[in-house]
Amino acid sequence: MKKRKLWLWDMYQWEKIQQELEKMALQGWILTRCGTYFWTFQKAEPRRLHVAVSYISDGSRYNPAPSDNESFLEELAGQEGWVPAARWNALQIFYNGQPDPVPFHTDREAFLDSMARAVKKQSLPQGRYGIIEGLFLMLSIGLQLYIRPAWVLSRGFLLWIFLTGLLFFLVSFLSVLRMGLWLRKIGKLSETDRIPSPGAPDIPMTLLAPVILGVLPFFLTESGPSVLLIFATFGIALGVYGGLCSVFQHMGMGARENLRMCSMIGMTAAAVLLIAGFGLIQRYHWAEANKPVGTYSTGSRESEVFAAPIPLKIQDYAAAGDLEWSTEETRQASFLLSSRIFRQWALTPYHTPYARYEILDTFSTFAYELCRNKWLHTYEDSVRHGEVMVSHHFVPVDPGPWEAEEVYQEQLDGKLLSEYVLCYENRLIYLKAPQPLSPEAVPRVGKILRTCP
Amino acid sequence: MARQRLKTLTEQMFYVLLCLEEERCGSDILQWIDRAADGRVTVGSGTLYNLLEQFLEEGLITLTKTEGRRRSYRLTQKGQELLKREYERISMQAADYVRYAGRSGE
Repeated sequence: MKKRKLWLWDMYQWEKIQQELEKMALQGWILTRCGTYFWTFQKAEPRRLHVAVSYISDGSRYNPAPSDNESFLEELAGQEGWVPAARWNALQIFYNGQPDPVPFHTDREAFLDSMARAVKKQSLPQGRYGIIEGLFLMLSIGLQLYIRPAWVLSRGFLLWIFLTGLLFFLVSFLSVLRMGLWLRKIGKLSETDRIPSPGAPDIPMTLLAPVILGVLPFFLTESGPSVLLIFATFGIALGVYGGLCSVFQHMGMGARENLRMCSMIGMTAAAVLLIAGFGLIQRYHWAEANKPVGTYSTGSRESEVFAAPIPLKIQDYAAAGDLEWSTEETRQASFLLSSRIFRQWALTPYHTPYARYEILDTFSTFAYELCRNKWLHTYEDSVRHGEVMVSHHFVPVDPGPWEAEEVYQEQLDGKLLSEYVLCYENRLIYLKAPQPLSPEAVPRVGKILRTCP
Repeated sequence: MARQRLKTLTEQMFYVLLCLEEERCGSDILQWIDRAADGRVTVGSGTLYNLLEQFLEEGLITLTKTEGRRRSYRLTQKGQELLKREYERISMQAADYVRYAGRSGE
């Protein structure tokens, strides 16, 4: 009979591992296999067994058979009755059923030294890799946040990636810091000091993945296929990765090669699944919401025509003539920001007249300020040697007719143009009209944009 | 007070190095130490593995032969010098004991 037990202790918590395995042996459970989250035990006769925990810096869970060093340790251990039970990366576990065996470790400095070597060769590089990965994720999203804040803040999935990067960075950084401090500390240990563990029992790295996946639904306001796709991708990629690791291990593939192949295939599977999945979602789900109602020729190519109901039309504030129109809407929302982009263009060869406006409903001051400031810096004066060559920026105009808190209008070399930033309480609007609005049109447009749901 | 790495040797380190004046494999080392120290010094198999790794890294011993899972080692010149230095240190301690405690250690 076999049993799998959830095991979240860090592999360097050797005392806890030892105590727990001895307790389980007394209850008749012998360890046969270690894993990331679960350790496997086999039912046996309950008996008192001595457990030894050791570390080999080049040990790897991807090795198909014990490495030369592991074999050598097993040979030495066998001389004193220690039988190998399981291994997991640097961690090596032995049982001894003799009543009073020669202890596995008789020199605490040599034991500390082996642990320090495993930390330096395995755990520190992994931690450093985690820091780089976390920073990369944060910087990628951070850069996009700087370039187009509304686009990022309205996409829960991107916010989730940012949080993932932040958690990865923090856990890896704390882990590296803790291991670095441990390495310094053991250099100063006296012979009577208790050996501390370099692991991080309070923030185990192993809990990171369930936490990150667990919070994902809170970030995805869009339900249905996208959420299912993301979970399915994670599940299938992990399954492919784990399954292939075992298959390659049985085939006798070396640890490095195994890791490289499985990572490559797992990541490719995830990428293919995501791309194909989003393609299908776009084709059947998104396309349903934004279905073209026809096409029209612009001379050289065919363009699709949409007929989304939009709250403000060019006809509401400008003479539009007897033209046909395409109207399109794009919606995105997260817990920080809801963004709706409306576009309207005439079915003419050059898509003119053309209007575009974006309505942001913000649920935090941070998102409001960030988007407002970014929009107000859409245009910057061109300055050379301290002299303004081209003056092009937003200037504040009277918000009264708009019934807004603040209104800014695009100005080029002193002439007011057709782009506006309207600031209401919790709502920001960027309006790019085909031409500057007439004073009569302003209150009407303001009311529509302010009150539209 | 922490001891500097390999500046001085523990008893187990000393016997492992001493034993490798001649080429020996892992299991031979365990048996030799048990015999040579009359069972007074015990070296655990995990400790022996760690010490051999450490000595090899420091260039105090060299791997001379590998036969399957068995590995044989021998002391290097650097290892011999360290062992001699340790012997002189222990001898001086013993001499000081005789001089100041006024006994010949009976």
